[in-house]
Amino acid sequence: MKKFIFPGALCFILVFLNSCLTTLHPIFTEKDLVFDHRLAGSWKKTKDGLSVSYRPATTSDLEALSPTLQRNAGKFYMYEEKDEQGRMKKANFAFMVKLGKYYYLDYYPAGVKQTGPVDEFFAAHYIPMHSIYRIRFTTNNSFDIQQLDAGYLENLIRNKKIRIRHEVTEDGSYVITAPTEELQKYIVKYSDIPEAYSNDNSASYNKIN
Amino acid sequence: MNKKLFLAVSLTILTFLSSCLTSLNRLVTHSTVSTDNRIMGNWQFEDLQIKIESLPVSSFYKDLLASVKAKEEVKSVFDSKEDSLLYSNSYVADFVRNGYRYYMICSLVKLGNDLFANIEPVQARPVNKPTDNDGDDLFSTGTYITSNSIAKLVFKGNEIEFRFIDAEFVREQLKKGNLAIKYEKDDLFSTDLITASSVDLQHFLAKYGKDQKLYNKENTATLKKI
Amino acid sequence: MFTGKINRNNRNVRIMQHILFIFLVFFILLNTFKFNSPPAPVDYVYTTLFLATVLPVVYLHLYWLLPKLRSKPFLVSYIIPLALITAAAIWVNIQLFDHWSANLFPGFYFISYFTWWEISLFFIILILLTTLLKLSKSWFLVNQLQRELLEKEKQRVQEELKALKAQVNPHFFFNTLNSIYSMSLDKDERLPATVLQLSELMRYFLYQSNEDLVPLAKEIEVLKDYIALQRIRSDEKLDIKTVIEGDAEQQKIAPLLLIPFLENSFKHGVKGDVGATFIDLKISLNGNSLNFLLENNKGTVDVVEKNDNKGLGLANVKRRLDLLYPARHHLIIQDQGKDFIVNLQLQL
Repeated sequence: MKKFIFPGALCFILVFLNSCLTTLHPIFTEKDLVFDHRLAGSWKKTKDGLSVSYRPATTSDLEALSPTLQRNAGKFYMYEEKDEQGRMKKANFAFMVKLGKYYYLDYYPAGVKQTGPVDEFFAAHYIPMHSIYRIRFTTNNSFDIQQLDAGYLENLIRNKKIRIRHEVTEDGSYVITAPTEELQKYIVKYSDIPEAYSNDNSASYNKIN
Repeated sequence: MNKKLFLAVSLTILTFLSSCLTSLNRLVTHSTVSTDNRIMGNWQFEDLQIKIESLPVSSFYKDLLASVKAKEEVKSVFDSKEDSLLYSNSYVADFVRNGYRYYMICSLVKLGNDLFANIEPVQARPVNKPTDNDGDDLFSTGTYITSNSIAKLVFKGNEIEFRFIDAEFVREQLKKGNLAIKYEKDDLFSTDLITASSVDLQHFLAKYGKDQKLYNKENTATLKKI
Repeated sequence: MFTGKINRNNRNVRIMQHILFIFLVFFILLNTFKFNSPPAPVDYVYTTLFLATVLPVVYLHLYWLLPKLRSKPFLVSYIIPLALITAAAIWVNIQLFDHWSANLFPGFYFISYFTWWEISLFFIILILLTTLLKLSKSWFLVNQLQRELLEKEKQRVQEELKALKAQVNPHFFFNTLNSIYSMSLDKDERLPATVLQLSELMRYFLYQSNEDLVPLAKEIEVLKDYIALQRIRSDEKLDIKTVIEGDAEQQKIAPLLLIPFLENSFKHGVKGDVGATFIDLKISLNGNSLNFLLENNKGTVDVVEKNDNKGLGLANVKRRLDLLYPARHHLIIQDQGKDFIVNLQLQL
């Protein structure tokens, strides 16, 4: 989807940045949601010291979401990332689900960072996507996270080794439009293949509090 | 940034999203792009002042080219020859709202006797940070894909009407099963998106572009020339 | 009237088959064209319109062009018309989906989601499929007709064989009865045995000859009985030698196949009256190979036969050999002036 070469952080097109797999549909249905209390709290990334927090979502967080998600408020998290000055850099809803042997987190954007309301018309052109991570608790106070690799899936699609619903845009980008059931099958099938995960977005976290 | 603002922003996006139906693929391609310089100029829409210029000669493009050449030693800001062809014949609209300057690309195509516009977002940067190098970007807090909106253009003297496709009508026809077009809908997150190809979109509008049911007053933006 | 009813029934069956086929194609296309599951109203409209452009071409091909497949020139009578009507139908399909359907179905919104090449493929596949179905139907029909023909031919042959078997000369029986009558007047002591032999012979002719095959031993016994009865007529002057070699118990033969030769030899041996005549009969068996050698004197005057029976016995047996033992027999009939030799080699 990248149309212009923007230097550095001017690029707003984030799909497949660092080859991370994003999907139009979630990887869970209402009945799949799982809440693990171990994840709730503040964490520090071992690689770069980034501070993040996971807290249980409250009804006020969810007012903009569908009634189905609202009634499951206690079953998912608000993920927040702050910079050194304590300013919010990123905010996502994080939904935990168990697929096969592993637990996964489905991140969904929770809002934009701005000092005032974003222009509606402009904002309407941005479609939020789901980012998928596998999470493994190494201890009660630490976990590893790995994001599914988009390049691996794209390769499978290009070589016709997989049938999964997707679109290819004019500029050759892949957008995975597979419904939830198809996504779950893919994740379970490739859960033990290391190449299916992106090394760039692997991280370990230790609990702060 | 506090939680209430996040919430307000989320509400804004998601409320508007429910009334706007966009397309994954552009209506206009490099081989079908058309130009009509009547679109260029300074326009007033409600409380907004919108400037529309030809992209290759716009200040936006000049700034972009300068920063690209300075930093990346690349010859073109475009990813491909096709993009270069398309955008060289497109227009950029910019407006300021709440401390942010928004840039949107407008490409035109003639289908039958009607002129249609494809509008896609390009950039939103703080007015007080024109070069915006520190990653203080809109929509960088999450993962998004960009999509395109489509409008029929009608020139009336010193005015342009952007008649956007009525999203509620389209959704209603899709729900009733009267409309056959590639479309994705996620009920859990109320996300929907037209995924038809550019060719199919053009065929669709060539056939139904004159049908008044596709448009309504609420989705029409009338720009008055300043 | 009855034929009319049968024709109507056949026509109804054909119509049902066509309707079923169209429904099947509709169902397959509907599930191919649908965007989501289950199919929406627009999918039904789409599929119906698509079929409406394809079916005329399919039926035109089946009933107008396909019969011309063998016509010459092939290009002008088949290929060009097929290409033209298909191209026209594809054009109509595209116009219908891209333009006309907006007015025909104002409440529905769709376009053609296929390129002209993809549409052509649909047409080609349906034309090929229907052609194959029609040809298979014709093939089954031809097979059935062939089977019926073969059955009829078989029946005809069996009827012919039956008729041929029934052509055994009845004169022998009349003559033998005459001899028996004479013997009864003379109170000949050979009478009971003669009557028994005649009875056995008649039983064989009447009943066992209806079978396709009879034990060879029985056929040889019948030959012997026949010789014995002829001997009565010929008195002591007839020199008959009979040699049977090999085991006839296990073999079977078509009934009344050998009797005509013997009958013929007696006919040729009669010279106004049975004089100094001879018949040498040798039957030898080697496995399932039968060698029948019959030598007899040739009389100066043949037994007078009615014109319509003259030569019928040998012609009869030759025809039976051709029908029953094709390429499995070798018959040599030699007229050597004074002697008449019949040599039949038969694979049983």
